[in-house]
Order: sequence, then C-alpha cells, then structure tokens
Amino acid sequence: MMQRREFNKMLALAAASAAVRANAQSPARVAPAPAGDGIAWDKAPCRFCGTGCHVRVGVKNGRVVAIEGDQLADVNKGLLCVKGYHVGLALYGKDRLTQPLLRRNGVLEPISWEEAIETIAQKVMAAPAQFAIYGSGQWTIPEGYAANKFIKGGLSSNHIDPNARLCMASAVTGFLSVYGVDEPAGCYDDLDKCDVLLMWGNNMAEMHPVLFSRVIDRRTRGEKVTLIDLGTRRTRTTEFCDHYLEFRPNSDLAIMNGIAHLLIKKNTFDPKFVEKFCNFRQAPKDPAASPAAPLLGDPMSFAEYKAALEPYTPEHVEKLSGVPAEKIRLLGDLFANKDIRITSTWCMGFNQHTRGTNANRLCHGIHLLSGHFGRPGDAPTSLTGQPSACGTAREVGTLCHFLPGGRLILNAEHRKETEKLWNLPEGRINPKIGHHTVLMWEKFCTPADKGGDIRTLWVQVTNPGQSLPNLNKLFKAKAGQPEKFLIVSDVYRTATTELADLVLPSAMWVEKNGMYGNSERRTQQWFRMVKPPGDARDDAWQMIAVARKLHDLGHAGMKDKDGRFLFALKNDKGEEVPVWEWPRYYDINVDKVLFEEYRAFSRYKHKDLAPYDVYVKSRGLRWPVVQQPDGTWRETKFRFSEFDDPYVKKGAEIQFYHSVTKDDKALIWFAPAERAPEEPDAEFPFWLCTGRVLEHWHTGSMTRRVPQLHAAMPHAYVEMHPEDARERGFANGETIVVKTRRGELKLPVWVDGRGHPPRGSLFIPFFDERLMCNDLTIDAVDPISKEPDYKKCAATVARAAATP
Amino acid sequence: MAMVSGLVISTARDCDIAAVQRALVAREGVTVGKAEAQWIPVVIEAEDDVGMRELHDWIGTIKGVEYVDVAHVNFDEDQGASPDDHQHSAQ
Repeated sequence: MMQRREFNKMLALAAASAAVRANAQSPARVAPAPAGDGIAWDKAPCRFCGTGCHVRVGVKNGRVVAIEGDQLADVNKGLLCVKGYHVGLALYGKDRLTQPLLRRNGVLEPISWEEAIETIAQKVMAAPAQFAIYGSGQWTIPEGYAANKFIKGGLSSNHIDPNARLCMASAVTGFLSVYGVDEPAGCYDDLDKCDVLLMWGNNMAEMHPVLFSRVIDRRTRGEKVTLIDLGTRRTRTTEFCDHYLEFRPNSDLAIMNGIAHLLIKKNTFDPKFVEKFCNFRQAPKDPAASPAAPLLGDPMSFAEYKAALEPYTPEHVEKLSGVPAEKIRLLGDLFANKDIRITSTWCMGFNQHTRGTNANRLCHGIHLLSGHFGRPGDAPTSLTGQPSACGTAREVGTLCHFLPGGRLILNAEHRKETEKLWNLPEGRINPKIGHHTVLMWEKFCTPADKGGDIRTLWVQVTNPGQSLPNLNKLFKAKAGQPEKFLIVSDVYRTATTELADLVLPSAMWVEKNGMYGNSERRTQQWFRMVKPPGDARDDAWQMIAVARKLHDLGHAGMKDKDGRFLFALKNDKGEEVPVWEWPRYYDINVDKVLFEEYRAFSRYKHKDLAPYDVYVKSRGLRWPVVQQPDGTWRETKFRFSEFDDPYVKKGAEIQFYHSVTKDDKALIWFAPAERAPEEPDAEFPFWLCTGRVLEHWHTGSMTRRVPQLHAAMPHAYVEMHPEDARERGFANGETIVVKTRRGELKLPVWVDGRGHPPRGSLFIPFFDERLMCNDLTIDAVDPISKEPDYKKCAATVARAAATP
Repeated sequence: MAMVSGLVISTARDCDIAAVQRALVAREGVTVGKAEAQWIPVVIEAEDDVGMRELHDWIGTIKGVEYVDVAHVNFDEDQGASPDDHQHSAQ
C-alpha cells in the first residue's frame, strides 16, 4: 500500500504540474487529483480576498486535510497565494467559538441558543427602530439577502450597512456616477491582454498576488507588458515595475487631471469616442439640492471641461504631486497611443480617501477621454478586498441606501418593485435611508439622551472593533453604556467580542453552503463539506431564527401581505420546512431557495444571474449570465461592448445602457485637486498610512490563527524612512510611540522593511489585534460615498521611553 | 509531522533552466517534476513549518528564479493549533 506521505507528494506534484501546464498554455491542462487515501474533494472559492480564486478542498474524516488550487478555475488556473493554501487551517484555531455567550456581571457566560435568540428578539421588539445590523462583504449572498430582507422588508428599517462601506463604497459611487450602474465593465481577462498595467496605489503583489502572478507569467512567456506603479510608498509591487511614480498623498487627482490636460492640449484624446459615447460632468453648485445631487453632478460642456483642466500642466502637477513633469508626460503619451491597450487597477489606494469618489471618476475619465475602453485589455477596473463585497454588499444591496439588484431606497418605484417581489404590503419599506457605517457606530456609541438613536446592534462576519477608524470614538466609547446592547456573530473572539453583550458562534466557509461574488462580477457557489465545531451555526439560520421568534412574538412585519412568514421556505414538493428549527435547517438547501428568490431582482440592472444549479457545475460565472437558444447559460466578460455584451444594441459598438443622462453615454467628470482633511504640521509632521500585508487577511482574526502565517508575520510594525529614523536616533526594531490627535500606539519601527515609505511618511498594517492602528486613524469620510480615509492623517513619533 | 507542498517555479526567460533544475534536484526535500517552457513544478517536504519556510526561501534565492507560487498544500491533523497570543480572554 502506498505510504501516506508518498500519496501526498503525488497529489502535490499533480497539482503543481497541472498549474505549470496552464501557465505554459499547454492543451493538456486538467490533471485530476489521484484517487485514494479516503480524501473527498470538492470545489469552493477561497474564503479570503476579493480575487475569487477557486480551491479544491480535500476532506477526510470530517476534517479539511488538504487544499490545492483549482485547475478548472479561470481566475487562478491552479495557483494560490500563501493565504489561500492555508485557508483550510483557518477553520481549526483552537479557540473557535462553540456556544452562545451572554455577558452577565461583566463576564461572558454560556447560554442556550434558545435563550440567545429570545434575547435578541426581545431587544428588537423593545425598540425596532433603534436596532441595526452591521455585516460585511464576507456574508455569503444568501446570508446578506436574508439580513437585508429581515430588516428592510420585515422591520421597515434601513439601518443595515456592511463593512464594505469601509473599503469599496467610493468605487460604487464612482461607477454609478460615470456609467449609471455599479461594477467593472471589464474583467481579469484584461490583465492577459493589456500592454500597459497601471496600478494606482494598488500593491497587487501582496494584496492580489494571484492576479499579479498572472501578469508576471506573461512576461515569463516573453510577452511585453509594461508595469507602472503609482503610489505613496515603495512596495513589493514596485520591485517588478518598469516605472515607479511616487506622489504626495492626496495628489493623484492632480496627476489624472494632468493626463487629461495633455490629451486635450496635444489633441491626442479620442474625439470620436468622446462625441459618440460621453458627456461631461462636474460637482454640483448646490450639493444639497437633492440627495442624489452630489452623485449626479451638474452638466458641463467640453469647452468648460477643457478650461477647468487648463491649470494642470505637467509642471503644475509636478508641484502638486512631486511626480516629475516628464513622468506626467509619459503617462499622457501612453494614453494618447491608441495602438496599445491600457488597464488601470485600484483598490483601497483610491477608495479609502475623502475624495475617493472623485479619484474613481477621474480614472474612468482618462480611459474614456482617450478611448482606452471597451476592448480586451483597455479597461479601468477596481479590485475588492473581500470575497463577496461585490456579490453581497453591492449586488444584494446590503448598504443602507440600497435595495436588491441596484435599486434605491429613495426611489418610490424601486421600493414598490421590491415590495412586490417580497410580497409585502405597499409602504412596508421605509423611504428613509438608514445610517451608514460611521454614522451607525457613532450613534451606537453616543448615549440615547445625546442623540444616540441606535440601541441594539448586531454584527455578523466582521470585526469592527479593530477595523473602524478612530476606534476610541466609534467603538470603544460603547463601554460603560449599559443601555447599549452589542450582539456579535463570529467564529473567534475578536476585538469586537471584547465589548459584546451577546456572542453567537458561527459556522465558517465550508462548514456551510455558500455563494460569493468576486471583483470581476463572477458569482460562485459551494456546498457544506464539514460540520462546524460545537454548537456553531450558520449566520443565515441565526437571522431567520430571530425573524421567526419575532413572528411568534407578534411582530407584524415578519409576515408578508398574505400573512405568511417572511422566510416561509418550501421543499421541492411545495411543503413548508421550519428551517428556523436548527435540526431542520439542512432539510432543504436554504441557499438555493434564497438565491432563486433573490435572482428575480437581478434583471433590472442587467446583472442577470443564472439558476443556482448552473453555478453548482461551474467555477463561477460573470454576470450578466444570459440563457442561449440551446438552453445553456452564457456569461459576459466585457460589459457595454457589442462584441460580447448581449444587451448592447446591434451596431452600437459601445452602449452604456444605464447611462445617467439616459442617452447611452458615460460621464467624464472634472474634479479639482484637493487638500487632505488633515495634513502634517509642526506638531504632527508625518503622514500616516495604514493597510494590509501579504500574510494576513484584514484584521487577522482568521490568518493569525494559522501558525504558518502567524510565524511569517507575527506582529504589526511602523515602517519609516531610514533618514527619519536616523535623525531621531531610532534603531531598527526599537519600540516607538506613534501619536495622532486621536490616540497613540507603541510598536516596533521597521526601517528598510518590506515597504519603503518616503521621508515624512509612516505605514502601519492593521492586522494585529494587539497593536491596533485604528486607534490613530481619522474618521473623516468621503462626502459622497461616506467611506473613511484610512490612507492619510497627521502623526508624530517619539521614543517609547519618553512617553509616560 | 510531515508537510508537503506543490510549488510552481517561474524562471526568467534568459536563465539556464537546466541549472535551476540541477540545483533543485540536489537539495534534499525537493522533488522536481517535468518543466514546461519557463515553469518547473516541484514538491517540497519537511518535518515542520520552519523546514518548509527554509526550503521555500531557498528556492527564491536560486539564480534565475523569478517567482514561486503555491498550487497544493497538505497538512496533518495536529497542525491546527493556533498561536497563544490572542489577547481576547473569556471576559
């Protein structure tokens, strides 16, 4: 009999060889894993970032024992990053939460699920309008859909927001205000076709390493692709780039205006594309004219646009940004060249700023102005940080101003359609937008007699006690307010459970059925493969169980207009199954039933989804997914382009069919360069930037439980320029104090570390629960997207010993 | 405890791929598969995580190696122990 180790080696070599063949574009691509050794394999998207790699999960004796890249997955073609191949171990931290815990006399004590559900229901019944839900882009699509329906359709409240507000809300407002519909037109295939890849504040080598590897492999095959890194600090990505353009924080708007200036000045823009497919826009004169005014702006003529750009000469942009004028000209020349294809990518580098919406708008604008749009390889494409920020937060619409499928709370027709699809009485959906994330937490942390109108807050699948900005104000201020009740559903204890009054143990990833939607509009599905530990249960079940308890307590909102329970789910025979009873939850596939209900919402914005069973057989499909005459379902790679998008009229070439201006045209915006909300001064002379690292995913609550990842990056640090450290006499590794107007933090300084900030700049990663950089960050938000600015505030440093 | 990983090594176009393969073959704990174009599949095995990291890091230092990707990882049942430095207590 083959030894286990030999078998494992054979599996590993088969997977690696298959990936090599995929890289080499050899026709023999698929190499099924050898059978035997009792391991059962199934597919799932990775639990971590928004790339959406598919993994093959090996299960034996009820436990995940192996992970490999899925060779059938177009996204990753059999490869994984360091987090991805350890994703299975994230299930097995020894301190998994296994039973509900209620805080009594300051101590979390075990209680039954019945008591937990009853406790939540009573809190909601006591003050439904003061109850809020805070979720995330890690909610599966059915989980987010259940939460959204529960609060918006059941409680007539819109106090629900996901942590996606903290990471991609500015991308959403960017897409909406340019194309009238959210999410990228292109997809990852653009990375395979572009001649130039511009990464705007986007450390792809660490944050989306599989996508970056996909580009690097093109070079290895001998293809020419020029990589340009535009950033405020050198990173691993910079090492692979042909050009590195380091700019002063907050000055990327000036750079993009500089590119547009050159395109117009040299008459190298694409007049045919612009005339046929674009209108111009600027910030509204009266932003308070209507709630939508800041998003939709005021029209401007081409002449006005040209005049607005006039000051942004390369020399002026150099002065504003620090990027040499000749490099601005280099960018202008690239966009002027129609013989090449340019893809721009960005992530938090654009989004997490007080002018994040404008940064997104201007990036789309230079692509549209130059005509670098609509061909494979010519695309402005945002990347997301969470596995279902797109699928759940954006498409299901778990933001406080959205309804499912791109509908809006403020639109009476949209509310009516939603009420119809949910079979609710007319007027059930509250026409008032709920609290966005920062406001929600501010209201929760403020005493009721001082305007704090959120009393009970239920957090699922996220860790705001570490990830919110300005934690002392937006989270820690909850302490000592007994009238405030915090419920947290999670898989491990976190900074958030520290202040929780009720902790619910959740099932995670392949411990439950699930569906995600990745950065490129790809909807993915997986089945439960192992059981959760102890009494941990699915997040969607928790929501439905509370809804049912409210129903039984007589809350009228838990019934539809025919008196049926909101989550009256039926089996194939049409019989209702009491899924709120945990032993019955898996009697039917709840995910499938909820997804099929949700799917009806997807057509309105042409984000058509296929039936659930189609996703079961695929490694994800990019919407719109449209049924063909032969009954098959076809995905769409390139939206708005006639050659691929079935919704574009014949002969139109490009059609922005959700155009804000209702004329099938996109909007090119002008936005001036702006000052940051807080800039370095004599008291706080440094810029402070925060972000992620390769080994850890977001707040590290999962990856810090994986021994290999923890060992590789055990603690947070502050990166500093060697000259700045030398001037202050800091030794590498010495513990120093970083201080801002909001708090201070002691942590080791890392000089010449992984990243290299310029003089006058600091960088701290946010994965470490013991060294939380969000004690320092500012809670200023983008006025349109309401996304906070994690990328810059003013800070100072001192020797640790000098501070008491 | 045994650990096994399948890696994909990308080499530079102008490098001597045979030399990279020779270096790999000579190292204990590395099994080399059939290269295609500029890519070499390998399996690395070690008794613990430290050994795995050493091997992984060493591969990255071989002249001509540009990038190391992971395609497969296998872990034994006793590797789920998480670090003990989580500050959040039962309180």
